[in-house]
Amino acid sequence: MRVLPLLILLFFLPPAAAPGATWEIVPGATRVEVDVHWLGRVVTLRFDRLWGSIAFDRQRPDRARARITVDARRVSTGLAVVDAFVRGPDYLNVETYPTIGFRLDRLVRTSQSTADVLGQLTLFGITRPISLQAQVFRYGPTPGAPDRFDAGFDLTGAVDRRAFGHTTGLPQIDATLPIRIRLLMRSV
Amino acid sequence: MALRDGPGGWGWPSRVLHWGMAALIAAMLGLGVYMIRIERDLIVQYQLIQLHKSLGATALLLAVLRLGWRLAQPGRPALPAAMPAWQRRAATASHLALYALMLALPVSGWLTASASPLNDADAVPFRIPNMVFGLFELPDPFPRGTEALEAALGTLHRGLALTLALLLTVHVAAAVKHHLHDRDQVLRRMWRG
Ligand code: HEM
Repeated sequence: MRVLPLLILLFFLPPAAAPGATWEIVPGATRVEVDVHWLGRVVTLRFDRLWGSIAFDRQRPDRARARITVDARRVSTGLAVVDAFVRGPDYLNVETYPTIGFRLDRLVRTSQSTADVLGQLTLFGITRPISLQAQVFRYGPTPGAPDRFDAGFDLTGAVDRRAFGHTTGLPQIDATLPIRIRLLMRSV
Repeated sequence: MALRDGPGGWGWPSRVLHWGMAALIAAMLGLGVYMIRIERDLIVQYQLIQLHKSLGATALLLAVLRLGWRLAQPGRPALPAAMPAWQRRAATASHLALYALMLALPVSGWLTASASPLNDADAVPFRIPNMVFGLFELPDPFPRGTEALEAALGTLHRGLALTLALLLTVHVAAAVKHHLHDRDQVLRRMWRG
């Protein structure tokens, strides 16, 4: 059983503890990957440290609220020399902009296991709207802790870095940055 | 087990060098094509190119040892008496060419990498040294490289690699023919001495 249809769950699961219950991000199971395309090749930037607050009522997903912060200083590519460049002033400039922020505005269900995620992305101090597509990859009681609940989403989308004033390496380095986020959250 | 080559057979150093380098060169041809034409992840590509440089430097060292050893031998096994003259000439010429390519390939690869502006002291965004297994850096004959020089040497390296691949195909086909068709000792003695 890969993905439980949200709709069925909404009918058969016991109600959530409280409307707008709070959730925590499961650190090891959550990561953000951004693909940087350069002349037909790709470098993947991985962010593995993020934190934030999520209010999500399983019966009213449309009312979900979240603020998530990504630690830009911990970005890694798998190669130290490249990491140094990516973190440096010519790329992510993490000294000046140590975090990347996301605020969820609206969750719109598009099918039993998919949703559109609309929010605001803050990068280099500039905030712009962003939309991502979510696909549920886990939805059920936490294994080994039946009083808690896991909700896991794979989010995909793309950011045009020019909207955030980022022009390094254009046009050899693509302006569009495909994003993949695996978010596992657990009710507290 | 004989050390030296002589009319009676190949000594073990020659045989070890022959098969060891055969495996190394075949792997390098495959690695070279894979890393340049197939791999899309830039980080993995970088790591494969560094491996290619390290193995290539090893191949150059082995080629020098092999050539030195070969020239220092008192003799070597004769070609089968039944071989026609044109085949003898072809064998000698192709073996000479193989030795030349064994040296020219790593040297041209090293010159290509050295000519790259990314190998210069003030390279942007960072310098890529020509390290050998992370132990030491190859000398840099072009402290100030240019993209044009790198492209020209890269074309040469690629052309030499293609020539070597074609020549190796003929070399292997000839060895197999000796073994299966002529049923002589040429292939067996390179293995057993
Ligand atoms: C036995 C020795 C070697 C063999 C058989 C070999 C073979 C190859 C092959 C087949 C390619 C791919 C060409 C293509 O598909 O476009 C290649 C590329 C390359 N090799 Fe080697 N190589 C050898 C040694 C070296 C060494 C010692 C170095 C550097 C220290 C080196 C550096 C490079 C570089 C930089 C490229 C990319 C060239 C370009 O496309 O601009 N190679 N090699």
